[in-house]
Formats: sequence, C-alpha cells, structure tokens
Amino acid sequence: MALEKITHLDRRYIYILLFFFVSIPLLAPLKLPIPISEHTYGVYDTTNAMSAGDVAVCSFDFGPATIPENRPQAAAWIFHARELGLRIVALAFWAGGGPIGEDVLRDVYGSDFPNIPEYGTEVVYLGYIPGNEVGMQTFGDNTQSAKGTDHYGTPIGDLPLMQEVTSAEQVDLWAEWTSGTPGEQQVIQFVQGRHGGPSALPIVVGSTAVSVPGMMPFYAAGQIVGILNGLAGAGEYEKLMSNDYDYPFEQGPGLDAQSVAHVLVILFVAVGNIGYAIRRYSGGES
Amino acid sequence: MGITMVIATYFFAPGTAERDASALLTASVDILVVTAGLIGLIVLLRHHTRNISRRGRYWKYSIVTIIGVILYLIVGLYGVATHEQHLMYASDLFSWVYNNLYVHMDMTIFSLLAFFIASAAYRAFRLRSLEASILLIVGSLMLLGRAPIGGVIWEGFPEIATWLLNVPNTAGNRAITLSVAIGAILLAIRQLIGVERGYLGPER
Amino acid sequence: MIPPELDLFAAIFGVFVTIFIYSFLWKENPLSRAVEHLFIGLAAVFTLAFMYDAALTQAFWGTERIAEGNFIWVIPILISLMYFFFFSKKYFFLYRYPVSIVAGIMAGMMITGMIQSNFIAQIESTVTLPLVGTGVWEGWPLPGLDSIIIIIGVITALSFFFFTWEHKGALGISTRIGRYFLMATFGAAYGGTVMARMSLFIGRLRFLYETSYADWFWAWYLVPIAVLCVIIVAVWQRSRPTPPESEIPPKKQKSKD
Repeated sequence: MALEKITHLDRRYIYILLFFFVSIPLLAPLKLPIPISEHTYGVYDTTNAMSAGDVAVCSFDFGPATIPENRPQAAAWIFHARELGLRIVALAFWAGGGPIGEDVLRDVYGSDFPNIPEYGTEVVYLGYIPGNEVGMQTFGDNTQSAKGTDHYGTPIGDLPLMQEVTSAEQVDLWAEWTSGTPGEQQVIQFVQGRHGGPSALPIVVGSTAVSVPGMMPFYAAGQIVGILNGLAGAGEYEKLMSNDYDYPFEQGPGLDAQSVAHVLVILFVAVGNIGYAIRRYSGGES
Repeated sequence: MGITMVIATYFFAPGTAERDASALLTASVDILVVTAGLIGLIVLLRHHTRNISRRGRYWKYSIVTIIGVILYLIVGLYGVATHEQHLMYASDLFSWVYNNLYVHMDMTIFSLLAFFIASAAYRAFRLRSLEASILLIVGSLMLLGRAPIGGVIWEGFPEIATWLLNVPNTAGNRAITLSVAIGAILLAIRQLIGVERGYLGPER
Repeated sequence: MIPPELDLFAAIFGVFVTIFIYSFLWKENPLSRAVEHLFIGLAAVFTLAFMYDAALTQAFWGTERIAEGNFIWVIPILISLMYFFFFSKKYFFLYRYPVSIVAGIMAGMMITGMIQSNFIAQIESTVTLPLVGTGVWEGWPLPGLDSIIIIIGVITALSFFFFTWEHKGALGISTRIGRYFLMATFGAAYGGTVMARMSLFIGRLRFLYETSYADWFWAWYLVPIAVLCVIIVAVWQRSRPTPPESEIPPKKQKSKD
C-alpha cells in the first residue's frame, strides 16, 4: 500500500517539496524560451502607436502583496514610454502604491528623482490620490480638484505638464497597474466612460494573474486594449524591451520557477486524485 | 433616519449634473473617506492598549504592536519636521521604511497563500463530477499555457490557454459582469430610496 | 538622503521576518506571532501617515486650496470631523451624516458608471460580434465560431442566474450549459490564482537568494541563523510547563461605551 501512503502526505511535506523544487530553477535557471501572448502585444503595439509628446497616465494601484508581478511590468512599460517620448503623469489610487510607485520611477529615472531636469515637463508624480473610485472620477473630471499638490508638496498648478492636463480629455493613454479594486474596471466606469470611451482614452493594464480572467469581457469589448498577465506578462514585456532597446531581461529565472511550480501543482492534483480513485474503487469512503 | 435619506437623495446629482460641481463634491468625499480610516486606527490602538492593561490573550504581542507604532511614528514625525511641506507619508525616511522593511512582511504574509494553494490542490481537488472535471482541466491547461514550460512541452498549450481566456472565460465572466452590474445598480437604488440601511451602522 | 548602509539593515531585517513568517507553516510560534503584531503596528502608522498627507495635500496646500485663500475646503473637513461621533453613545446619529453623504455619492456614481461600462457596453459588444467573415480572433480555423460560442455562453450562463422560474425543460438545458461555461470561467480563475500566488512566493525566494550588499554580504547567509532562531524558540517553548493563556481567565468584555 505504498501508493496509498503517497496520497496521504502531511501538508508539511507538500510545503517542503514546493520550497525545494521552486528553488532549483532560481539557483540554476533553465532558460526556457518565452512565447509572447497577444495580450502583451496589445500593450506593446498600443504604446508604440503613440507619438512623442502624448500624455500617458500611469497609475500604481497595487500594494506590496503583488510587487513581484506589478513592479517589473510597470518599470518596463515606463521605460518604454520614456524612450518613445511620452509625457507621463504618474499617480496612485492605492495608498500602498504611493511609495512603491516612487521607487519604480527612481528605477527608471535614476535615484535623484524628482530632482531631474525633466520633472514637471516630461514626468510628474502626483502620489496617492485618496477616495478610491471617487478619487478616480474626480481626477478624470478635473485634475486640480483631485489633489492640491504632487507627491512632494508642489502645487499642481505650478507644474507645466499639469497646467496642460486639466482633465482626462487631454490624456491619450491610461496605463493601469492593478491588483484589485479600485482598478481597471473603475477606470473604465469612472474615467473612460465619462470621457469619450475606448477610442478617446485607450487603457492598457498590467495585472496580477488573479484578476486577468475577470477583465477579459472588457478586453473583448475593446475597453481594455492590452493586458500584461502577472509575472509572465512582465517577463514578456521585458523580453520585448530587451529586443528593442538595451533593457535588462530579469524575469527569466522567475518564469522558469513559475513553470516548475505550475507543473508541481498539476502533479499534486493528479496524485491527490489517484488516491481518491483508489479509495473509491476499493470500497472505501466516496 | 429620514433626514439621512434626504441627504443621500440630494447627493444623487453628481452622476448627472454639471461636471465641475460634481468634481468638488467628489473631492470632498476624498477628505471624508480619509477621516473614516482614522476611526479604524483609533479602534485598533484602543483594542491593543486595553489588551495590555487587562493582561488579555497574547498581551505581550500587543506590546510589540505598540512598539511598532511608536517607532514608526517617530520616523514619521521626523519626516514631518524635516519635510518642506511637513508631509509624513511623502517624506524620504518614511517611504524608505515602507519600501524596504514593511513590504517584506506584507509580501511574505501574502505569499503563505502559495503553500496553502499547493496543499489544497493535493487534498481538495477531486474529479467528482463533470463540472469539477471541467474546472480542473481548464485550470490545468491555463497553468501549462501561461508558463514557458507549456510551450516547450507542446506549442499548442499557449494558444489553448489564450483561447480559453478569450472565448469561454469571456462568455462566463461577461454573464457574471452583467449580473453583478444589475445587482450593484439595484443596491444603489435601494440605498438612495432608503430601503437599504446596513451601511449606517448599528441602531443604538 | 538615505544613507546606503541602511540597505544592509533592510536586507537583514527582510531575511529574518521572511523566515519567521514562514515558520508559521510548520507551527504557529512566538516569532511568527511577534512579526504579525509588528506588521499590524506599522500598518496602523502607515494608515495614519497617508491620511494625514492626503488631508494636507487635499485641503491645505496646493492650487486653489486653503493656503491660497479658498476656504470652501473647510466644509468637508468640518463634516468629516463628524465621524468622531462614532465614539459617542449620545451623538452617534451625527456619525451617520458623513457616512450617508459618502454612500449617497457612491451610489449615484455606481448607477451611472455601471450602466454604461458594465451593462450597455457589454451587451453591445456581445450583440455586435461578427458572425461571418473574419473572426474576432485571427488564426482560429472557423471564423465566427468563437463569436457563436461567446453568445451561447453569455446567454446560457445568464440563464443560470435566472431564479424566477424553476430550472426545468428548456431553461434546465440552458442552465446546465451555462453551468459548464461558468465552471470553465472558474477554472481560468483558479489558474490565475495559482499563477499569482506562486509569483509572490517566487518573489520572496528571489529576495532570499539574490539580495546582496557591497559584494561581501549575501542575504542567504542569514537564512540558517534565522532558522536556528526559530528552532531555539520552538524548543524553549516546548520546555515551558504551562501555556500562558491558562494563567488568567479571559475577562468578559464589558458592554461598549
């Protein structure tokens, strides 16, 4: 009855197996090829179709819990947008996203951010805007009522870029890094829906893999034009950036580890079911 | 209670009325929401200080909480004192503590779910019925298709995963979205006409 | 500016809290509990900080705010102070005013936002799917088939949520097909959940394996030390005769003030 024993493992053995097997590709990367999905191309092509000087909003709506997924997505995209000469209005509708967003911007613009020459004209960081979806709607209707100052306390009216961007009407692209509510659905409802719909304000989303299935109806309806799906999406975008520019591709080992983890979970399900089948057909519990 | 209902109905305007007026209204809500969160903080601190003074369950750990509060508050007040506009959350050291210390705890606590999900996969997922089998097969195909290894095993896996996301999943989720939308709109109407009063807190 | 030496402290702190929290997987212990409580404390101050900042940047500083002589912003601040009547028994009704203002505005927003984006746009997108010609998605051998599947899926899955009549006859068949579509949806959601949680765990492992400081310090050096701490505490706890909870009988919570 050795097989029956395997199907009755203590949960701690499962934990150890997971820890052990996921560690292997991190220490010795498998260097698996990365296929790029159509959802990722949606983000890439939309961003590429923008012309220099267009205004993009970059919204950090995630907390620490999804940093491994959302952060590399946002960093790669901001890099892309900067290379294309887009002007970026960065902000956060999640309180937790405020400091993280600042950190991401420092990764891309250098550790001196915001003390860089292009601050105020090419890029601004408004920081956390309170009020969740209400804050989103306020920002879309009138950027100056949404918040009095940027993240650092400079009045919004003193920033040249924000003098130009008075509402969502002047925004050409909305990049949403999300892991919950408020997220892409709230942007669609309270910003895009009120300001000309998908044709006037395309939305690209980088999301934790949990929420991606739920946003597919909006993708199919064209309300969202591209999605970066979790860690895989981040890796794919980094890959595209490293092909086009000199951008480091860092998610390789992580994606290898993800592959191993997925196979392991499928094996767990299979072994668990084999045990179930044995018990069922040997007349045990159902 | 009648008055609260009138106020709620009165504020129904922002959805339809002139944009700038509604922007001011919604911006005011931002401030209201902020203060509401403060209540939560006070309730938490009250709970822990009481727990210590009564020597309740795990009171020693309540001390850890209070120490954490005091230390981080010192960092914050230092930020307020040194920041040009006297901001706390935006001050350098405060965000450093958040980005370099706090996030480790937050991320690790949430990553515990990875272990629980692996254990659940092993213990709870059973092919009992056709429905369960569909769920399991779609789930497995998604797992294979969305990680690089799927494409290595068979190049069809990523395509299948994309198709599953784009077609059956879109159909199912669209039905859910429509149903949720109807439910949310009905709830909002019930709130506005004063039938739904749960959000007002307990009757006292 | 932040002195770079602090990064070393951050790495050390990160390793210890990570291992302490993971020790919870084996068994709940004083170290994991202590880190949880520390986390709650820091989270509370973080909440305070962003609220304080939001209030300042929203109402005092900045363009057209109180600092520039626009005193209309005093009104929301005064109303928001009414939240503090939460703590008063006598004036609790005043606490309901800000709550109902927020709920009223949210409800108004919800109706307009939901109807347009989640209702009309979704129906529109379903009924305008091309049935012939080039399909919505390229590369599928039968263009238009995907559209038909989506339309059938949406209608049958919606019928599943239809509780006015009993699920029998034609409605019964429809709800059964709808149930399969919903199960496929949940399967996709399950796949997404596993993917996301594993990413997070991988992120933690990468932190442990890849963090370094000034060429001589690697974070994983500390992993054995942290594990040792957990073991020592576990042994020490086992050697203690009685658990502290039993020393004092739990007092009855007094009625709220």
